Amino acid sequence: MILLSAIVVAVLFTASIYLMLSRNTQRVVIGFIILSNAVNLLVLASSGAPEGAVPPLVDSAMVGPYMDPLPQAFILTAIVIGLGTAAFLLAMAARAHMEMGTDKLQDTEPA
Amino acid sequence: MSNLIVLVVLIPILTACFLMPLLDRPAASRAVSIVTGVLLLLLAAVLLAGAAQGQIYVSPLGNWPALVGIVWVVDGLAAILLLLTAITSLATIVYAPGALRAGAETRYFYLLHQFILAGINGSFVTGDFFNLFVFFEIMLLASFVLIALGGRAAQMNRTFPYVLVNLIASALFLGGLGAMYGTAGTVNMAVLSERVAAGTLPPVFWAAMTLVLAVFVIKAAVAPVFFWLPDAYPEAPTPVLAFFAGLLTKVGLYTLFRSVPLVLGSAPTAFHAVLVVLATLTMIVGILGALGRNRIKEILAFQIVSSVGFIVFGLAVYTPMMVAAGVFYMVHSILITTALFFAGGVAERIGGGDQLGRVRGLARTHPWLATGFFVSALALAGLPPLSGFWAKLFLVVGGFSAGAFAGTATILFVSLLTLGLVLRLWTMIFWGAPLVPVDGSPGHDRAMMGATLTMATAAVGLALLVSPLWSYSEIVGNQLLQVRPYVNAVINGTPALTVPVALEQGGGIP
Repeated sequence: MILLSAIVVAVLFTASIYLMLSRNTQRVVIGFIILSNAVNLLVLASSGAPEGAVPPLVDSAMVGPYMDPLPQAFILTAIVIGLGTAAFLLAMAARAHMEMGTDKLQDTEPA
Repeated sequence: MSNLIVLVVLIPILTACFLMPLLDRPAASRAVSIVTGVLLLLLAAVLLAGAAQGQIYVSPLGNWPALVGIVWVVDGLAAILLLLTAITSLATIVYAPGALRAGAETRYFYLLHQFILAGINGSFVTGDFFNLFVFFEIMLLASFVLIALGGRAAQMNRTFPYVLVNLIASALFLGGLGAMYGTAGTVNMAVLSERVAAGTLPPVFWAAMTLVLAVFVIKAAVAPVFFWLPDAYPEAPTPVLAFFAGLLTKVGLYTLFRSVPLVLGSAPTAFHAVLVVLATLTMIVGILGALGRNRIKEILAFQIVSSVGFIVFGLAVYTPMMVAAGVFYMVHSILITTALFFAGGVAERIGGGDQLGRVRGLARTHPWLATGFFVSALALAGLPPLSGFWAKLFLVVGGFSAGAFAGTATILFVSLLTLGLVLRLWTMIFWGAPLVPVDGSPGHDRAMMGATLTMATAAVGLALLVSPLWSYSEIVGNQLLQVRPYVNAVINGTPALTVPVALEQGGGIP
C-alpha cells in the first residue's frame, strides 16, 4: 500500500512540476492544484500508521485498532487552505489576462 | 498573564471584522487601525517587560496536552519581534494614505494589513509546526493581495512568480510536516525537541526535517533561493513594501532562529556549515545586485537580501554571542529598512517614479527628508555611533572569536560596498541642482514625513539603547541555544497527557 501511494504521489508531483514550469498561467494554476493534492496524499501516506505506534487518544478505552485522527485533521485544514489559494490563483490569472491581454507571463527586464 | 498571548492574534482579526463595513471610509479605517495598533504596542511592551526577566509565557489553547494540542509561547525572541511588529505596523498605517493611490489601493489596504498582522504575530507566538503552517498561509494570502494591490500589468507579471514560489514552498512544508508527524509522532516544537534529543528517530525523520528547514531557507530569502524577493517587492505600493521589507522577510528568519536550535541541538552540525557558506553568498549577491540596479525600490530590495545574509550568518556560526548578534542585527535591520523604504517612497512621490535621476537635489528642497534618509543610510552602512556599527561590531567580534574568518572578512568587505551604495543613493537623490521648486512642491505630506522621521529617530535612538538591547539579545541568544528553558516551559506549562490503560499495553506513544 505504501509503495502504491509513493508511486501515485511521485506521478502527481511530476505532472504538477511539468505544468508549473509553463509560462501559461492556466497550466500553472492546474499544476498547483495537482501539487496540493499530491502533498495531501503524501501526508496521508507518510503519517498513516508508523510501526508500533498508536493514536494519542485522550481519556478513552481502546476498543480496536484506530487510524491516527491527527493527520486527517491536518489534511482537512490543508484542503481548505488549498481551495482558498487555488481560487485566489484563478482570480489572479484572470486579472493578469485582463491586464496583459495574454495568459503568458512575460520576461521582466531590470528597469 | 499568559493568556494575554491570545490577544496578539485576536486584536488584528477583530479589527479586521470592524473594518469590513468601513471599506469605503479610509479615514475611519485608518483611525480604527491606529487605535488597535496602539493596543498591540502596549501589549507587546508588557510581554517584553516579562521576557526581559527571562520569563517564558505559555498558553495551551483549550488546555490540551502539548503532544496533541496547539501551544502558544512568548519567549525573548518572540517578545522583541512582537514589539517591532507593532511599531512598524503603526508607522506604516500612519504613512499609508499619502503613498497609496486613492481608490483601488486605499480601499483594501487597511483591512488586509490587519490580516497580515494576524498572520505575522501568529507565526511568532506559535509553538507548533502545523499551526505555523496555517499562520504562514494567512500571512501569505494577505501578502499576495497586498503586493498585487492596484492590479497593474507589470505588477501581475512579477507577482505571479512570487505567489507560486511561496505556495510551492508551503506545499513542501506541509509534506515535510506529514512525514515528521509520521516518524516522530508530534509536530509540537518542544516535544519534538525532546524526542530528537532522545536520539531514537529513524532516518526518514531527518529527510522530513531537511525539507522543512529548506522551506525556511526559501522563506528567509537566502541565496541561492532569494530571487523571488527582489523581483516582486519593488512592484508593491510603498507602504506595503516598507512593511514587507522590514518585517515579512524576518518571519522566515525567525523560523530558522526558532527551529534550528530546537531540532538540531546546541552543537554545530553539517547544516550549520552549509548555512555559513549560504549566508556569505547571500551577503555578496545581495549587495552586488543592489549596486547593479537603478530604481530606488529595486536597490533597497536587493539590500534586504544582503541583510538577510548578515542575520543568517549570526545563526550559522552558532555560538551564543553570534546568535545574540544575529538577533541584535535583526532588530536594527527591521527599523532601518523600514525607515529607508519610507524615505525612498517620499522621493518616488516627488519624482513621480523611482528611477534614479527622476529627482535631484532633495537636500535643498526637502531638508527633513534628507536628514531622515541620511542618518538611516549611515546606520545601514554601519558608521559609528549608529546602531549598524554596533550590530556589525558584535558580528565581527563574535565571528573572529569563533574562527569563522572567511565569512567575517566578507562582512567587512560587504559593509564597505554598502557604504558605496548609500553614498551613490545619497549623491543621486539628494545632491545637485533641485529639479522641483523649493516651496509648494509635492512630497510635503505631513503623515509620510512624520512616519519617516519617527522610524529614522527610532533607528538613531537604537544607538542610545545599545547596552540594554545587547544584554537583551544575549538573554535571547542563551535562551535559544540552551533549548531547555523553552522546552521545560512548554512541558511544565501544559497539562500532562493521560494515557489510557489499553494504550499503555499496546506499546505506548512512539
